Amino acid sequence: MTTELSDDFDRDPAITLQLRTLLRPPADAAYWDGLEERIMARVRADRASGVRTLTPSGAFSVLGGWWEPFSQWRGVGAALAAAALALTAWSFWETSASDARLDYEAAVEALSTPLDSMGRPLTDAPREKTVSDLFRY
Amino acid sequence: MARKIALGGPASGSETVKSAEAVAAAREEERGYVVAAQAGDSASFAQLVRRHQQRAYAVARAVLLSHEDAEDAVQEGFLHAHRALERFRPDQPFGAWLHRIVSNAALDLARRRKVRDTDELVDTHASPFRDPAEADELHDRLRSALGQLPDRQRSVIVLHDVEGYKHSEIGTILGIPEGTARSDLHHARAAMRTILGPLRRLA
Repeated sequence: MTTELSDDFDRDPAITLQLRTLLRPPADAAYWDGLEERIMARVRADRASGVRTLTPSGAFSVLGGWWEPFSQWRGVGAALAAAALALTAWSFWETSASDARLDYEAAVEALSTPLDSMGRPLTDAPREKTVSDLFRY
Repeated sequence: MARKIALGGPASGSETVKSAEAVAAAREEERGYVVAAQAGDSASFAQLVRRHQQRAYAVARAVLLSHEDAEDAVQEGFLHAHRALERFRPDQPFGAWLHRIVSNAALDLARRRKVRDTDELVDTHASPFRDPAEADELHDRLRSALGQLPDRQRSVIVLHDVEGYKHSEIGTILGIPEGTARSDLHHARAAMRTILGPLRRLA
């Protein structure tokens, strides 16, 4: 059997009580009416300025920057970047394959010469020729 | 309002059904305001402001130490929510989305506060409200203790212990995993106890 600890096991009631008092929101209804008016005034001013910038859902960012006129090109830019990335990857792969093929050919070529020279022409070597002559007679 | 209904105390079967119906009706009404606001109706957006400004203030106050900063973050949050409203899907809970924006605005303001060497914001919309906690020495010490906590821990302890949010809700608001919110809460409580000592000596 497992026992799950409550979130309150280490809570100090006195500190919590004082925090609630410290951070108590304004109780005056007039304050909230005023805040609503101030918020709506800013919204109306923002709308009147003609700045309608969309932000990602839930994200906060500085709005109205120099890049805003280019925001409609975001999709095209992303497509071009993806194409460039694909081209780079393809050329990299192609270069790697070509290098590997050249390396292989160079290695085969380098090996072929010594192998040929290491071949032992039995009939032409004087020593073997002598031995064969001895057996013959 | 919906939250208060949902988090109400133990209720009988019929009361639970009524509460569920009330919550559903409130959500539907809010959805109507959202759709109308998306169509450009300022009055509907004002209704959303009226419904959510107190919770938004609580979220901002969890991040920021001063009332003025919290109010500024609330204004910024609603302004950005209005700008991004076209992208909001009305079937989603507006409050959770708004609180995320407000908390981001508050965190951004807190970062700027650290960069700037100032504790006063030039506010073009000055509020006549005076924080009742400002003059109290005990509250000054509490405020100082809160100020020593990392931003995230401070936000978590206030949202949980003061505002009564659940860890999952805090995770959504602050954009952190639920387990992180849980561990931040215990670290924050331990830090507060260490900084303040027994509060009886302060009182």
